[in-house]
Amino acid sequence: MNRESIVTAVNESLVDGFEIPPEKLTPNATLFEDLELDSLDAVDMMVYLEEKLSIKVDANEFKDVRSLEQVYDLVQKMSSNLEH
Amino acid sequence: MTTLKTSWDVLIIGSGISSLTAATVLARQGKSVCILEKYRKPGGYMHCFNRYGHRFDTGAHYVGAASPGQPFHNLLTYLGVYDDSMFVELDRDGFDVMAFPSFEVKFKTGVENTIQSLTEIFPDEKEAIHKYFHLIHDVAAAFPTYEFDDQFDSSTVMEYMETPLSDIVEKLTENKKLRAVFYSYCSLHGVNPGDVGFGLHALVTDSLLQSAWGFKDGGDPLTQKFLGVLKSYGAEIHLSTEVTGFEIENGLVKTVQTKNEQQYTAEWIISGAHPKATFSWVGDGNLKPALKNRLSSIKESCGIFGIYAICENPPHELLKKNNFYVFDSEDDEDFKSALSPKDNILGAYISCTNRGQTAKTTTPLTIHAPVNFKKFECFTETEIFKRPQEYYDLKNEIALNILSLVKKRFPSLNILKFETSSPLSNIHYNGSIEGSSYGIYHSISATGVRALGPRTRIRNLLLTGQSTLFPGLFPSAISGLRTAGNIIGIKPLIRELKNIKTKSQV
Ligand SMILES: Cc1cc2nc3c(=O)[nH]c(=O)nc-3n(C[C@H](O)[C@H](O)[C@H](O)COP(=O)(O)OP(=O)(O)OC[C@H]3O[C@@H](n4cnc5c(N)ncnc54)[C@H](O)[C@@H]3O)c2cc1C
Repeated sequence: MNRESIVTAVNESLVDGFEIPPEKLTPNATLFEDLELDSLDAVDMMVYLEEKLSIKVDANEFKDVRSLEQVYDLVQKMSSNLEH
Repeated sequence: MTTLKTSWDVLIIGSGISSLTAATVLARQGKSVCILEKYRKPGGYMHCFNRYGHRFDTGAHYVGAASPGQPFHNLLTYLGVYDDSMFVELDRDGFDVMAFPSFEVKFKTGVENTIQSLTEIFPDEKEAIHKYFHLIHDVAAAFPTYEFDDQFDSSTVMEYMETPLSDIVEKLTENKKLRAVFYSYCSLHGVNPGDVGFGLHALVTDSLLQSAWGFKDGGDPLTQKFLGVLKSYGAEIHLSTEVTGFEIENGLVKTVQTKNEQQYTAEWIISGAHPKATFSWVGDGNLKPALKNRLSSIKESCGIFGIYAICENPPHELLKKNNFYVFDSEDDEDFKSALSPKDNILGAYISCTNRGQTAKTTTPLTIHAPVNFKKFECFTETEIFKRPQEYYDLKNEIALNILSLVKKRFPSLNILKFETSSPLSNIHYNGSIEGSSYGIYHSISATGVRALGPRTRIRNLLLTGQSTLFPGLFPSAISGLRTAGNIIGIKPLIRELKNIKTKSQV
C-alpha cells in the first residue's frame, strides 16, 4: 500500500467507525485532544484498522501513538511488513 | 410490609465467580452491593445439579494453583472464602492422563515431574520438553495478577499475548505427537493453537502444574461460602431476577430493568453477563460504529456437550483422583482445528465426580466434549423440556459418538444410564451466546490489549467475567478483582494479596 492509499483508508475508517468529521482529519491532529478520542477508542481503533486493512498492528507500538501522522506511519510499517 | 431496596452503591449482574469476587471485594470496602441473578440458583458455572441420586458439576471440575501460598489459594483466602474441606488434591503423580491412540502421558504436579514424565515417552525430545515447560512457567510468572506483584514485566506479557502457541511449539519440535501433547490443554480455554496467545496457554498450564485440586462436593459449597461472606457485609442477592435493559442518560446507566419489572439504580453497575448481552442493553444508539463492528466480529467459543453417566464398577483407573483426556488422533494438525469442531469428536474429557470418596458399585462420571453449535442452532427458539424429538435424537447420536471414543480407551466401561446437556443448556442456564462455554473465543484478536472491558464508554458501567479476561474459575475470579479495582484502585488490592502470599511463605 502506498502512502496515499493508507491515508485514505485510515481516514475512511475514522469517519465510518468513530463518526469524526472528515475536515478534522489533518496529519497533525492529535488523537486525544483534536479528535476527542480516548483510551477506549484507541483500542477499538486498533482492532478496527486491523480488520478493515487486513493488517496486524503491534500493540506495543500502538500504545505510544499520539497523532494521526503517527497512525499513518505505523500502518505503513505494518503493511510493508506484510508485503515482505 | 417490607419493600425491596432498589438503590445501591454497586449493582452486579450475574453471580458467577467473577461477579461474586467483585461483590466481595467491594462489600468488604464498605460499598452497599446487590447481585441480580437470572437463574433461581447462584454461582453461574459453579452450580451443581442432581440426577439419579448423585451430584454432577457443570463448570467446576478442577482448579490449579490452589495449594497454600499459591495464587488461587491466596485469592480465595483474601476473599475469606477458602475452606480446606471444599477441595481435594488430585493425584500428584498424574492428575491428568492424556490418552492418545498409541501412547499415554501423565501430567504431574511440579514442572520438573511433568518434564520427566514426558521425557520418558519422548526421550529424543528432552530439550524441547524442557524448554517448553520452562517458558510456560517464566511467561506465566510475568503476569501481575498471577503472582500478585505490582512490579511486573509488561513487555514479556505483551509479547507472549501476541504470539500464537503454535508458532512457539512448531519452532521447538518437529515431533507431531509431542506437539499434540502440548496442544492438549487447549480444551481448557477453548482456543485453537494457531489462535491462542502463548501467554494465556501458559497461565492455564502452569497453574495446573503448580498443583491440581478437585472440588470435593462440586462448586456449590464455594458459592455458598461467598454468599455467607457477602451477607455478613450486608450485601444482597436477588435470584430469578433477569436483567433485560438499561436506561441510559448522559452517558450513564440511570436504571437497570429486570424481567420481573423491577427498576434498580446504583452509582456503579458491573455486568458479569456476556459482553454482547450487556452492550445490547446499552443500545445501538449509544455505541460507536467501530465498537459495534468489533462486537459483531468477535467469535464465540465452542459449545461443550455433557454426558452425566452412572457406571457400574468402573475401571479402577477412573476412580483415582485424576481426569482422563481421551483423544482420537495424535496428529498435531487435527488439534489445530479441534476447537472449531465440525462433525468428528477429537477428544473427550472424563472426570469422576466422587473425588476421593470410597468406591461404590455405581459411580457418577462426567464426560465433556467440544461440539459444533451449528448442529443445534435450528432448535434455539424451542423451549427447554419441550424441544422436538429431533433434538433428543441428535443429542443421543452425539452422546453415542462420544461414548464410543471413550470405550476405545475403557472397553469394559459399563454405563447403566446417562443424561446429556447441549450448548442450548448453556444458553438456558447461563445466558451464554451461541451456547458458548467459555464466553468469547479468546483468540489473540480478542484478548490482552484487545480485550473488551472492564471499562466501557458508559462511565458507570464496568464489565467482568471470563469474556473480559480468560476462561476458567481462577482467571474469572481475577477478572472480578480487576473490575472491583477499577472502582477502588487495583494497586492496594494487589499489595494486600502480595502480603498474604508473603505471610504464607514465612
Ligand atoms: C463444561 C465446562 C467445564 C468447565 N470446567 C472447568 C474446570 O474444571 N475448571 C475451571 O477452572 N473452569 C472450568 N470451566 C470454566 C469456568 O466454569 C468459567 O470460566 C467460569 O465459571 C466463568 O465465570 P463467570 O463469572 O465469567 O461467568 P458465569 O459463571 O457464566 O456466570 C454468569 C452469570 O450471569 C448470569 N446472567 C447472565 N445473563 C443474565 C441476565 N440477563 N441477568 C442476570 N443474570 C444473568 C448467569 O445466569 C450466570 O449465573 C468450565 C466451563 C464449562 C462450560
